[in-house]
Amino acid sequence: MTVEAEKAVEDKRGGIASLLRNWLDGRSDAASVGTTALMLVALILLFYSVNERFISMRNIVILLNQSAAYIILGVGMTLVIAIKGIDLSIGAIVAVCGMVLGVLLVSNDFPVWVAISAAIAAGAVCGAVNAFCIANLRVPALVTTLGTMVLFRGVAYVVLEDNILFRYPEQLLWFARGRIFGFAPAVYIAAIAVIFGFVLLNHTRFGKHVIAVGGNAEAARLSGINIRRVQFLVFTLMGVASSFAAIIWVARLNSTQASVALGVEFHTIALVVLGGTSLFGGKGLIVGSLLGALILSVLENGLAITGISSFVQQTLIGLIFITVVALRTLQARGASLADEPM
Amino acid sequence: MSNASSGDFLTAVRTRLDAAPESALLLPTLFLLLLMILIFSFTADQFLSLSVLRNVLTQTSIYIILGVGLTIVLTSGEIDISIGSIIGLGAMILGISVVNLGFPIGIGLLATLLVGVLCGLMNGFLTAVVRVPSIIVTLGALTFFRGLAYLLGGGTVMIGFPPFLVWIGSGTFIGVPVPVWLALIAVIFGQLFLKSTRTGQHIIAVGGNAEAARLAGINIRFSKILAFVIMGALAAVASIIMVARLDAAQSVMGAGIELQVLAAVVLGGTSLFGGRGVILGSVLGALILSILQTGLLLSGVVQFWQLVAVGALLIAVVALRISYEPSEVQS
Amino acid sequence: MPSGMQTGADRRATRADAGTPVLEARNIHKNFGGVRALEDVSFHLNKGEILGIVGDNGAGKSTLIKTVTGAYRKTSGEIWLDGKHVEVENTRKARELGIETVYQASGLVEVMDAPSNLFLGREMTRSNWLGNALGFINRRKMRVETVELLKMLNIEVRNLAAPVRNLSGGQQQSVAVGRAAYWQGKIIILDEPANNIGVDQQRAVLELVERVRDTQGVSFILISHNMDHIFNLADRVLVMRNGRTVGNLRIADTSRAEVVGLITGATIT
Repeated sequence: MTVEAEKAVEDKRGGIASLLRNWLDGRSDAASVGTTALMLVALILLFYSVNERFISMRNIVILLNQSAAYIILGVGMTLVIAIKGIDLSIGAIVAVCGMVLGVLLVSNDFPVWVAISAAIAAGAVCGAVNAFCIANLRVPALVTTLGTMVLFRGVAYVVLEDNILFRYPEQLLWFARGRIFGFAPAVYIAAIAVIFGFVLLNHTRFGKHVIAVGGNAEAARLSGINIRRVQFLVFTLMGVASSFAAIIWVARLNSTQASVALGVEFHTIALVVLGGTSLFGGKGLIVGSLLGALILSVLENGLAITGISSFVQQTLIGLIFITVVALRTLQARGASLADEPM
Repeated sequence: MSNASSGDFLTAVRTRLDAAPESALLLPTLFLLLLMILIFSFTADQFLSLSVLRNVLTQTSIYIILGVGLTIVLTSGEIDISIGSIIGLGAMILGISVVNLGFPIGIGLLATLLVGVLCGLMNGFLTAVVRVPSIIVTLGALTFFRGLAYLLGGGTVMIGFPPFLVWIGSGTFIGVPVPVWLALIAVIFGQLFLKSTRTGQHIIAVGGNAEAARLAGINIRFSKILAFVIMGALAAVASIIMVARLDAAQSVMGAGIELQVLAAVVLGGTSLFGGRGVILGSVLGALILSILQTGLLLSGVVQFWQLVAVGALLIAVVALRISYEPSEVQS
Repeated sequence: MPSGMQTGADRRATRADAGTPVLEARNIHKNFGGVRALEDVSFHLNKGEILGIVGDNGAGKSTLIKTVTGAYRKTSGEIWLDGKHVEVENTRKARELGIETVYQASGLVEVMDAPSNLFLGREMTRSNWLGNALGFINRRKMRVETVELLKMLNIEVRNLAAPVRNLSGGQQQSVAVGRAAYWQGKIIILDEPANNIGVDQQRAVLELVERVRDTQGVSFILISHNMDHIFNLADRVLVMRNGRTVGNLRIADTSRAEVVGLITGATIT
């Protein structure tokens, strides 16, 4: 009502700045993704200026291969965070799926497709366990996945103990080492995951429900959305995504051990947040998460190429992460700053 | 008649529990702890021996100290997952100042505490003033502080600490290990601070209803920053004990400890959503985790099953609590 | 009963005309970013008076109150207290100046007990060094004071040590009103005091308001959707629409139809 009218008046007075702000208001998602893309381009140019080999076909292939598993986890985590959840157990789920692959392919001689199906099933089951505790027992996601993080990792340890399983069949290694048009199959799987996640979130009813549940659970419930079902599916999907990441991981390393992918959950949450998805739920930027994953990989890869020690790298990555998130928060708050005196 | 009186009795009990929601939370936790001790005293012969008890208490003291800090942070409605990295950084400061640079131990301890406070200040500032969600802030800080620890110490192990520090780690005072004394002081401090001081009350109010606290004139920023600073200082104390017990400092110290501590605090009944902190519950929670691990070990259960047991226990306890107290659930 | 009404209205008429206002807001403007929430709002409040503020959702009632009490920063305008120009920078300053506010729903910390809420932000400390230097609170004294206050105001609270979320909505609201009265505010602002509570409890809260006014000479601002409450309790009513005041009427001189007309915009102003 008046708000619109006032805005119109404001536009005439404020001129371009106002117009720009209004344009951005309507496209805040596009703006977020845009800023993330700019950051990525700036980083790439920076590292290119330090070392020209940074933009070489060889390095790009390496970079994308490295990112593939993270991109897949990032897609899953974007959905989880969009419903205002969090999943700390994904590293442990990767370990369980890796364990399944190891037991079936190294300790025994099962066909690769059987092992892969079993790993995906294991990921789905782990995800469903999380989903059951969160959706049905109503244990907060943070506590649930903190518990299952220890529990799933424990299962992997019980089976594998301290052993390292290696010598996987060629068909499995193909996922990371084979080449289709110059890229590893893992990269194509990641691409499919991004497209799947994007379409699911932005162009399906389920996607609308995800946003509704994360944005305002009460309103979602009142409008007849089955919140538990949405939560259940999202956490199960996260488990499945983790199993794909595990397959790629094992294929890249050609080995499995119980301690694989330790701390991956933090890396994944960081890339989703870098991509502009809000931790307060109700918003999920799949493309942003893709860019976030690439930024982290470019940072790691680029800092390594410049010859900076890995110790400095970790410090820098932490510092850059905090700075970016702080700036983004300040920018988002902008107008409301003046209204609260304390 | 008997019906009525039993009704009265129930009402009386209900009123009691209403009046002391904290003890209502503490009792089941205490019961769980006793049950566990009972079971393990059957399954493991040496379990009830003094030396085992002493070992458990000493081991747990680090978790208790960190648990007190995290309880205060959670009560203020925030979370800190960077504590393991603060420990690593603190250990490096202690090692460099005392071992590499040869400063007196007193200076080393002060410097370590100061760094802990500064880490907490940074987390608190970014959370309360810049208003980035604390899980994100401390996620970044987790990487940043650990990076700094590696930057300072590389992969080296610093050894050769003076006898006073060794005493802190493995000495006793009136027959009780020094770390246990330190944990006791931390618990008394935490309990008095949170329940009996104005500032503590303000932290509870901020975590319970930030808007009401703000309208009542409470300084939200100060309360939250203070919670993080206390956490940082206690993490520094924990890092001192850890270095003292091993008589060595390493950059990786404390890695992953945040999750153990979080589990202990949540087991103890502190709400993840702020406004309710149960310091004594966190102590019980830390003891439960230690006793579970030690008991399973002494009972001859393969070490790796302990992880499964800890994870399952955490979820089961919280699920049970929620089924009794649905108001706990927030979306 | 009719004669009682008559004298009530007379009394109200006198209050509505009394000398220097205890509170006066002049030409208040408030913008949120580019959106104008309050435009040139002025009103005054006399001693011992109950001023009703009515208006549709989003008309600016709560914004006006939050601006006057320092919870929001006003864009422009002046606040006068007892004939003196004052700056209300924040809610703490407002309370120091004697303006107490009872906010709808958000005023109490639900997990804390009644005494803690009564003294929220102004906890009593012990009189020894523990209290002075370390800020140790005096729980017993706070409890005793709470009991006395609740007794004086005839508020019944079953269990003083229970978190207030275990109390009924009416009891919670009573605790909030009692808090404002305890701190001897010269002016108490009630934002939808009867929202979300039962009819009996609403009556109890409104009686409490009258009792506090009569025994302590406090002035009230009452924001409400409920015309019955306004017409039973208030001396004067301020009508808001779209961030502006469209009416400032003595209850004795107006009718519900007129006020409703002003709220909806049906009556031409």
